[in-house]
This record gives sequence, structure tokens and C-alpha cells, in this order.
Amino acid sequence: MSRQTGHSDTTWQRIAIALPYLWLLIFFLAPFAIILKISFADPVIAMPPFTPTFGDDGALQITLDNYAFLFTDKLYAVTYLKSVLMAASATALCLLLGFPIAYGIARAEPETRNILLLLIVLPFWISFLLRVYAWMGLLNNYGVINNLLMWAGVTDQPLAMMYTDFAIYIGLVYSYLPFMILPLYATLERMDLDLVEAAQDLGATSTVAFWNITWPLARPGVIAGCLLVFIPATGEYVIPYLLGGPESLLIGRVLFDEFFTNRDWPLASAVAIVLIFLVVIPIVLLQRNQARATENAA
Amino acid sequence: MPVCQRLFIVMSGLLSLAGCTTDKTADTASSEKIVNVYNWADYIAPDTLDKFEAEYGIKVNYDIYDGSQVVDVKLLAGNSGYDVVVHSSQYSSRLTPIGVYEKLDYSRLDNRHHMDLELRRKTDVYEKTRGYAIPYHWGTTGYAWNEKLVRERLPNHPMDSADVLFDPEVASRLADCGISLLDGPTDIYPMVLAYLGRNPNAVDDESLAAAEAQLMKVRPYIRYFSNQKMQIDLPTQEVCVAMSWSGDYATAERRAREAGVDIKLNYTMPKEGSGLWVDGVYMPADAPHKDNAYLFMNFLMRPDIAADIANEVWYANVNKASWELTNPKIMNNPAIYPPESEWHVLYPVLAVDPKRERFRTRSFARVKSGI
Repeated sequence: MSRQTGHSDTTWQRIAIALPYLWLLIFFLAPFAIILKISFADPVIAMPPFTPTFGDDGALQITLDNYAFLFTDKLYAVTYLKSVLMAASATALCLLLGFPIAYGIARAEPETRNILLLLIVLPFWISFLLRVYAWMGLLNNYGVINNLLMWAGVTDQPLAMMYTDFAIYIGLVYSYLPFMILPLYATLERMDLDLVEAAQDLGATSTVAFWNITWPLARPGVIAGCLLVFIPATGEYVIPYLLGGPESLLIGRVLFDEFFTNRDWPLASAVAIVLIFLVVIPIVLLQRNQARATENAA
Repeated sequence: MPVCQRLFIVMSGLLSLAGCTTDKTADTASSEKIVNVYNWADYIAPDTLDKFEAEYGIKVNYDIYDGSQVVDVKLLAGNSGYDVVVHSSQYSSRLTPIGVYEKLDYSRLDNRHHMDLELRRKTDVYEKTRGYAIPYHWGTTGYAWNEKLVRERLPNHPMDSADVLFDPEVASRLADCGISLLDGPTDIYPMVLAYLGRNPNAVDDESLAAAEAQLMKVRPYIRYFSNQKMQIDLPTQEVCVAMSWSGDYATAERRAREAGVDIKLNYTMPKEGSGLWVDGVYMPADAPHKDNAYLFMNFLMRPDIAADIANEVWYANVNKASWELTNPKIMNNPAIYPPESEWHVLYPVLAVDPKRERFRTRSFARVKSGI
């Protein structure tokens, strides 16, 4: 575009920048403010079931009791930790599986590349819930996998896979893998292959070239993919509920119980706020780390 | 503010273009030929809604749920948009005092005279819901068991007690064929306490501790906790004993037959005590189509319609006039309509103090997860 239209350019730029902020304001900040407000209230039996922020006399009535309560019972600490660890492991597994797949697709012929990408996205055409249900049919005691194993004579007792942490990992990795592959693919596809060739010409082995060239260039994709998997996996409710056993108590279920069984909206909100911070803190740290790395590079 | 107004006009224009209904006054809403109904999944006859629509020319928007807690939250949040809600009377006894429901004008529900007064009296255990509901179905809490699998392991056990679920001696012998419990403290704790000879609705520390200790003893023999999975797992024989509500075993047996599996399931109401539950049909106080809601509620109590539903769901009702139209297998089934001699074991599952509810939920989480 020519410089002459500079004025309208900036106007459009402003609008383009404002749009994501507007989106965040409506769909993130506003709900967040509501949840935050409820987390400072007391539960009451009323409609809605919590005390208003301002009393009848206009006085501010907020309490920190709900946050204090989270420290009195190890239930919360244990399930937060377990959820974060499980999400982190699932993210690592997704990266391990997703990287070679994304690399392969990025290096494929352009025509096959589109087909391969389509195959990655194809499962989204089927409802997420249905796909998790399908895993139940596969992992059951008398499900497809066990029947196959017993028919082949590998075992004569069905392997207990359903209702275990193993089943949750399968569900998490299966469901979130595309969110890892797609951003990885986007960065790897743009990567200049000549750089790797140059490194090899200068005597670097493939391993050295990978760690010194490919990996640093892929990092933005790795980070985006990891965040896209880790964040939703931490609070995941459906997969542990359907595939996990009673021992697999995660924070999603604890939140459900507070909200639905105890009808304690303020405490449920406090649990949610803490969860948001647990997820946000590593992201902020990561981003600062990134910024410093770019500065150093510059 | 004019800008806001303009924005509002544009927005509402867009919404109506998209086929959405924007904020309407109560007048226009109530004149719409619509009734919004919210009910449990699999809890109505397949043709009930069609019959209503054909007869009254009122369109039924039918929405289903699979857990009482979800309904509770929607109603508590307000403006649910529903006109008719089928809900547990135990949960509802907490919602009525805070004005969630409309007080019913019984003169507009003339089909009430079909009720059996004696059975109505016996199942009318939730005082706070009186005047706000018409009865839907009711039942008991017990366990379904697979005749063949259980008899192979316990040939001479009387199978009339909750010891099958809560005595480690007995439960351990059935662990290999699978025991499942309902996934909710409101169902399990009262039954354990009744088994221990205690007040089923007690929520004091000592009672909760006693129930928890008993559950911990059998915990290793429990395959899972769920309100639904046994409906599939009883027919496929993944479990052989499932704590469940009275009609479920009949549904499970029919499903097995449909799948070509020939199994015999029985249902036991434990002699130590069994929870009596009652579902009512309610109208939210902010229902947008109240006139239509009355028509629909009255329709549900018409004997032929009530019989249609009973024949489908295999649960008991209190609609006397519908009984002669109901499958005799249902009417003569002691698991569905318990004989007079067994009524004394039934206890109502009452709503507990919300502050104590937290302790019961917490105790149950400990039983399930060990945390």
C-alpha cells in the first residue's frame, strides 16, 4: 500500500488492534471480574446463592474466607498439584509425538501436505464428547483392545485400562495433539532449510544441526503448542470424568463438586481464580524469559 | 445515551435477523404458542410431546438433563426460560422457600382428581414443596443384581440386606464380578447409615465418620461410582451388583434382551432401609409461558398419558386412573410398587443443612479418592 493513505492506515490499524482487546474485554475480563466478585462473597440460600458485594446500606461486604479455606484442606493443594502435573506430562507427550509429525508434514510435498493437514483436522468434525466415548469402547475390559489382546493370546485376563490414569493420559494426548501439531507445523513450514544444509556443510552432525538450528527456530511454535495444550488440560473435566477412576480426582471435578453438590458458588469461584493464577504464572514467566532471550539475541 | 440506543437498535435488529428472540415483554411471550419443558433423560414416553402438540397446537421445546444438580444451578441462577421442570422434590424443598417456583393454582389442574390419595399421602414427604408441584414418579433406592453371577459366588445368601454393598465379608466375594455404587453422597450416606442402624439423614460429625469408616472397609471391592454406567454394564455383565434406583434394573434387563443377552436381574430394597425419592413437576416463578405450562402439567396427569409414560419408564406414579391402562408387569412388580409390608423400610432422603452438606461431600471425596 502506498504511503499516501497513511492516515486511514493507522485508523484501520487501531481498529485491528482494538478488536482482540475488545474480544478479551467481553469474553475474558468481564467474566473474570464476575467470578472474582463472587469469590469475595458469602454463600447464602437465595437466588443467586451468594451475598451481594454492596449491602443494603451501601457498605462493601467482601470476605477472604473462601481463599483462606483453600489452605485448610489438603484436598485443594493435592488436586491442584495433580492436575498441573498431569497436564504438564500430557503436554510433554504431545510435544514428543507432535514434533516429528509436524516436521514430517512440513517437509512433505505441497500436495500431500494439504492432505496430511486435513487428516490432522478431520477428527474435529466429530463431536469431542463422541470421540472420548469411542475411547471407552476401545479401552473397556471387554472392549476392542482387550478382546484383540485376548484373541491373540497375549493375555488371558483383560488388562485394566479403563478408569485409570493411563486412560486419562490417552484421552488428553489424543484430544489435544492437533493443538500441538498445528502451531508447530506453522513455524516449521516457514523455516529456511538452507540453514540446516549450511550447518551440515560446515560439519555439523544432524543432531547438532537439529539442536542448534531447527529447535531454536521452532521455539515459538513449541511454546504456542505447549500453552494450547497445557492450559485447557489443567482444568479438563470431561476426560477424567469419563475415562478416569474414582482415584483420579482432579481440580475440575473438585470445582464441579463445590459448584453443583455443595452449591457454594463463592468457594467454587475462589477455586477457579486460583486455578487461573496457577496457569497464568508459568505463562508470564515464560514470556519474560522469551523477551529476555530476544533482547540478548539483539 | 443516543449512541448506546443506536447500538442497541442495530444489535436487536441483527439478533432478530438471525432468528433470535430479543427481550420481549411478558405479554407477547405468554401469547406465544410455546412451552419450554426440562426433564430427566429417558423420563417420558416417545409420543407424549407429539400428542400434546397435536391436541393444543402448542409447540413443546423439550430439553433434557442427566443430573439433579445441574437443574438446581440453572434454577438458582434465574431466568432459566423453562416453563415446566421435572425435578427431585428433595432438591426442590430447598428451592421453594427462596421463591424459585410458582405457587400452583390447583383449580387449573383438574386432572389432580385422578390421584390415589393414600399413595399420594405416603409419598408426600417433602413438606416444603406442598402447593408447588404435581407428582410425577417416585421410587426407592436399592441395588440391582445379576442372578446367575451372584448365585455362583453366594449360593445361599439371603440377598435382602445392604450387606451385599457395605459388609466387607460379603462384598469381597462379589468384587471379581463387579460392584458399583451411585456417585453421590446424598444417595450413599443415608443408605450406609440406615444399614448401621442409624438415622439415615444424620449429618453430624460422628455419623459421617461412622459411615465413612464403613465405606472405607468396602472401598477396595467397589469397581466404580456412577449414576449411569451400570445401565450399560449390567447388561454387558461388567458389573454384577449395582446400587441403583428402582426402575433402572428393569431398563437394564430390557436393554440386555434387545442386545440378545439373556440375563436375569433382580432388585433388592435393603431391609435395613431404602431411600424413598419423589420427583415433582414444577413451574419456575419466572416462567414465560405460564398458561401453557398449566395445560402441559394437567396433560401429564391425564390417565392415558400418565400410563403411556409409566409403560415406558417403568417407575411408579400416584395416578390411580392410569393404573388399569398400565402394563400389569409394572403394577405387580414389588420392586416398583413395594407391597404394604415393605413400606416400613422406606425413609425419605431429606435436604440437609448446606453448611453440613460440605462435610458430607468432603467425606465422600475421601472415600472415593483417598485424598
